Amino acid sequence: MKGCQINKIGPINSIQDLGRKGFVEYGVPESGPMDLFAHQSANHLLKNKPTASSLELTLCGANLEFDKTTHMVLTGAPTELFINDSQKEIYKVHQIQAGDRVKINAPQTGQYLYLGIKGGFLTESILGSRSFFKGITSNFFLSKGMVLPYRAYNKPLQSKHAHISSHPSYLNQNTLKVYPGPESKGIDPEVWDDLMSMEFSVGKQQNRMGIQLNETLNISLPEILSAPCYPGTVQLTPSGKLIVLMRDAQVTGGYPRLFQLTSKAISILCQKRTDEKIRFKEVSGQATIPI
Amino acid sequence: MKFALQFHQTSPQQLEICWPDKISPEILQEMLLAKEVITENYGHELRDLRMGYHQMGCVFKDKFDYVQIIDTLLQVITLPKPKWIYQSWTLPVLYEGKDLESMAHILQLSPNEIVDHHCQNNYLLYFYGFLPGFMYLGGLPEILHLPRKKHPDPLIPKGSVAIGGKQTGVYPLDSPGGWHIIGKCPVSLFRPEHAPPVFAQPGDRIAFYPIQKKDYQLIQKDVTKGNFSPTLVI
Repeated sequence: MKGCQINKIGPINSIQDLGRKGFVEYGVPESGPMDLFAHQSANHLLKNKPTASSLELTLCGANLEFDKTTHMVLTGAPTELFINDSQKEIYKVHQIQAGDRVKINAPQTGQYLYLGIKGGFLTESILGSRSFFKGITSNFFLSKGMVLPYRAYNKPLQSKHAHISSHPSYLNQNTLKVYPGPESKGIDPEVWDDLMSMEFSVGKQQNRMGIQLNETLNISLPEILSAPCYPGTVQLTPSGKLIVLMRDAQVTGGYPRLFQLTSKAISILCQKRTDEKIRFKEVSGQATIPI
Repeated sequence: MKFALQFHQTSPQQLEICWPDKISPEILQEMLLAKEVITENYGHELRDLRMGYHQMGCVFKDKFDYVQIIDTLLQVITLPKPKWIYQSWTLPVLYEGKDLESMAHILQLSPNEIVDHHCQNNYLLYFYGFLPGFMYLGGLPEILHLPRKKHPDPLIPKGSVAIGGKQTGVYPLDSPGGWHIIGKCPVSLFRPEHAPPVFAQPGDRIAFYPIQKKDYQLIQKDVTKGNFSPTLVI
C-alpha cells in the first residue's frame, strides 16, 4: 500500500486521531487534534468513523500527491485549497483521483488545518492511536518525502453531503468557558471576579503541549504535590503567568490548577495567534461537593 | 477509613478525590483501594483515571452520579484494609552519571557513598507522570536530597538515573530535565509496543543495584534482543 506523498510541508505537523485514552495511568499523554472540533467536522463531512485520523497542519500549507481515488475535505482555519491548480472550497468534500495534486496554502488567520480523507490515514497505531508522539510513534513530525498509507475509495461523491459553514462561528469567538480548578478555592472572590473580567493575550511560547499567556498576574498560590492534569487545565506558575495545557500535555503537574477549559474552549484557543485576545467565563453548576 | 476525603467536581465529567496533602505510603494504599473500587463498580462508565501523590482524577464518559460514587467509596474504605499485595523489582544501574562528581562535592560524600545510599532503599512507586513510563518514586534517603538544577539540561538521555529534590527516578525517554544525573539503566522502562507498556504498577517496590560497564553492555544487548526484564524479587 503506497499512499499520499508529501512533496512540501512545514516543520511541526502530524497525524492525529482521537488520541490515547487508556494509558494515562502509565504517564502517556492523551494527544489528539488541537482543534478537536475541526477534526471531527472533517470526519462528519466525510461520513467517516469518529476514530479516523486526519493530517494536522500548523501555521503552514502543504503539497501532496495522491495515488488512489478517495474523497477529501479541509477544515479548521480559513485558507485556500487547490486540486490540480483549480481552487476548491474548504469544508466541502471533493473527489480525488489517482495522480491528483493537492495544494494547501498557509492559513490567513487562525493556526490549525485538518485534511481528512475517506477512512483516514492508516499510519501505525501504537497504544490504541495513530496520533504522533515522540517516544511512542516512530515518526513525530511529518516531513517531505513521507508516504501516508490509505485505502482506495471508489464510490462517487454523493450530491447530498452533510453541511458545515466554511467559517464556523467559534473561530471568531474569544471567550473561553472554564470550570473552576481544584486549587481555585485559594483565590479571593474579588480576585476571581477580576480574572473573569480581564483580557488576556496568547503568548509566543506555544506548542501542542501548552500555551503560555502574556499577562503576569499579581497572585500566587503555593506549589502543589504532583497532581492530575488534563488538556485544558490552566496552571498558575510561580512567576504569575498562566499556562494552558494542550493536547500533548503531561498527565500530572505541580503547578496549582486555576481553571479547566471546556473542549470547545480548547478549539477556540488553539486557533488564536500570538497576541490575539481572549477572556475566561465561568460555567456555573459545579463546585466542591459537600459531604 | 483513616483519612478525611474531599471531592471536587472539576467539570460535568470530572471528579477529583483528594486525600490529605502529603506523600505517605498509607495514603497510596488507600488510593489504590479506591481505584480498585471505582474500576470494579464504574469501569464501563469510566474514561480514565489518573493519580498524583494525594489526588485521584476520574473522567467519566458522560455526566455521572457523584453521590452514588462517593457513597460506594466511603462504604468500602471504612472496611478493614486487605493485605497490601505488591511486587518488588530490581534495576541495574551503571553509576557513572555526569553529575555524580559535582553532587558528591555538594553533599560532601564520596561518589561511592552516594551509590551505597541510593542502592540501600526500596523505593515505593506512587504513580506514573511527567513522561510516558516515568515513575514517581518515594523513599530517597534524606542524605541524598538535593534541589533541582537552576538551569535544566536541554537533553537528558533515555535511561538516565537522576536525583531531584526529594525524589529519584529514571528517564524513560530523552527529555529536557533539571535533575542531577548519577547513572544510567540499560533496561527500557517504557515499551510502547507492549500492553501494558511498563513493568511495575503503582504500589510496587523498586530497588537499584550497581553494575560495571561490561555488565551494562551485556544487559543492553539482551534488552535489544528482548531477552532482558527487570528482576522480580520473590
